[in-house]
Amino acid sequence: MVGVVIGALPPSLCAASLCGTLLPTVRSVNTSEEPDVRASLDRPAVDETALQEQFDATIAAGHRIEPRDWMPEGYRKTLIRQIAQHAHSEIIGMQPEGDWLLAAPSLRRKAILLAKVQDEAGHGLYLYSAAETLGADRADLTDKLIEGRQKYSSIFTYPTLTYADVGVIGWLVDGAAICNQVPLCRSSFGPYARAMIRVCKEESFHQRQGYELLMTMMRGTDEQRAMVQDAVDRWWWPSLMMFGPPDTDSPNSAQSMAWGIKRHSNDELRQRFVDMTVPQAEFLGVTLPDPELSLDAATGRYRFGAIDWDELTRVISGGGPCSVERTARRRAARDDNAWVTEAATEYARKHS
Amino acid sequence: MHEETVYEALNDAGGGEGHWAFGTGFDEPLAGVDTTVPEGIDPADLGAYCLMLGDDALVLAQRLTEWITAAPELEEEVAIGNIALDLLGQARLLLARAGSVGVMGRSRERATASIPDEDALAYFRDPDEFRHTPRGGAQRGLRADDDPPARRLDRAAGGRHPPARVP
Amino acid sequence: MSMTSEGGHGAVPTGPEVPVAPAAGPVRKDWPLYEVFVRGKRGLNHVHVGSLHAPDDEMAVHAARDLYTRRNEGVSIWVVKAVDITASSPDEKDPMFAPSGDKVYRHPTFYEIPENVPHM
Repeated sequence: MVGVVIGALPPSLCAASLCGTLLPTVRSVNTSEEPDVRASLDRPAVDETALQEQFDATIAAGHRIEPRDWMPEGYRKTLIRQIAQHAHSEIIGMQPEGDWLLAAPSLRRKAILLAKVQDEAGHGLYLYSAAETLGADRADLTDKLIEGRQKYSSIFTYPTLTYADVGVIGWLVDGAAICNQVPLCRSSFGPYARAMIRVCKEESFHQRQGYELLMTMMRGTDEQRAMVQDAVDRWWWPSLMMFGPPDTDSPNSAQSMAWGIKRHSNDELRQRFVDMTVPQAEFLGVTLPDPELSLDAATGRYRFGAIDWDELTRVISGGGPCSVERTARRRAARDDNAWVTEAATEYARKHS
Repeated sequence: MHEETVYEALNDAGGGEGHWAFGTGFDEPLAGVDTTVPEGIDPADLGAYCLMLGDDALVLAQRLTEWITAAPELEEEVAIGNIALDLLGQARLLLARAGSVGVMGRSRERATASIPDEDALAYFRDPDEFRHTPRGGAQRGLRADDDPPARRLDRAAGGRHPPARVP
Repeated sequence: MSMTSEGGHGAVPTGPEVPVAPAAGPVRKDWPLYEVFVRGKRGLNHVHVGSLHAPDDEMAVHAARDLYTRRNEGVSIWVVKAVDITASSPDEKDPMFAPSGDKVYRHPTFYEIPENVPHM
């Protein structure tokens, strides 16, 4: 495949590309840290003030920013980080659940789990698509994930030790994800919002399947009930950590809210999740492993105990129980099968 | 919004939960299937044939599933998953059909009555009772009855990757 | 470290410590990017639903059916290489694009620099 040759680009873009400023790190002409190369190449100066005003007005009106809109570099970069790492989370998340595909206890359960894991691959793909509209390249994002320079959700660094974990992931982890994701359907960035609408529809199936699995086990033997309780004991606190650090420790939140890419604070979403989940736990017949969990009659909300933030920091930095394994498997998928990708490319080239 | 219309149309086209791939949308594999045995057909032959086809589908589904999280590209992940789900759905149907004409092998000696035929056949037969087309390479040896059924299925299907962390 | 819960499936860091610029130097060859358009049922028109990577047109159509229609055979799919789309959106003012007759968005592979250009 031959890409666009330089000569075919409009003159202003030719100049920009020769200066190596074409790719997503294009800076505004007002940046003072580097020489204003484009001015010296007779490129018309860009009126950033007007562009910023138009951008701000679009956000304020609740309209979507689309890929060919001017946007502040901070907005673009933050979104790439958010969307790409969301995609990475979906792909890595296939592993802890995928571990049970070969050992699911019935053919129906096997099929349900396989469909769910496949959904997650699809979600990752939709999200990589959205990230690419911002100037990222999927292969490059994958490389950064494998090198540990881009992260994925902390929750997927934990192992699935028993089959009950599969149900608990559906109930708690996907439940937490839904709390995060529903507001994202109104993200100010169009491609992300549209991808999230599709993702949210499928995610609700996943949560129901997980909860139903747990209900079945809770109606089973003492051993099965104990297995569910053990899984809940291990996954509850990590699920709360999925909402990120407390608001007081989230310096970027205010800017993200102003940009319309964050709609609720971390603490607000976490509280919502707890309030939703406690009654579900009671119905299921499991105990949530927090002795301080109690209903505040005045507000109708649940108070809960202190979260170990050191664990979150450690885990997100690559120190989780399965962190090494997760990236190793992703690396193996990329490298062991690189010949397939290359062969297909070569075949296409020969037959084009 | 227009996008909503597209997604709803896609969803409705499969009948609501139609977005779930073929293998998952049913609890009763034989629902809506006419289970009378045609005249002149020996149920034992019918059952044996269903086991042959069903075991092929089951074993292939199991082997394809090994590629989940290991495929060359994400598009391939989705495609392989789809094929595996199709095959799994076929396996469920065929095994249930075999069970419906009483061809259960020795599985009912171990599987309690509450376990549906398809699962009894998939998880509680001995490896020598499987009727799939033999694959290259030796079958792994099977341990005795204390082997969990899920692992037995995988080994009978010629698995080289034991399921992770089976209790 | 700043982490946002809107990391979708769990909080992820979004501060400058997370790199986003594509790696300099030789880029691993990805399959080309395709945009996908789907018509859900008769009477509607095709709608852009997203993108995917495929080595050629035939694989792109197969992948699109798997990914965007859950193999619903009745649905009409168009796929086109993203680099072949010409876009016009005068209201969207990204200065990198000519307002008419330019690429759909910034993607590193839309602008392949020949290997003999110095200092790239």
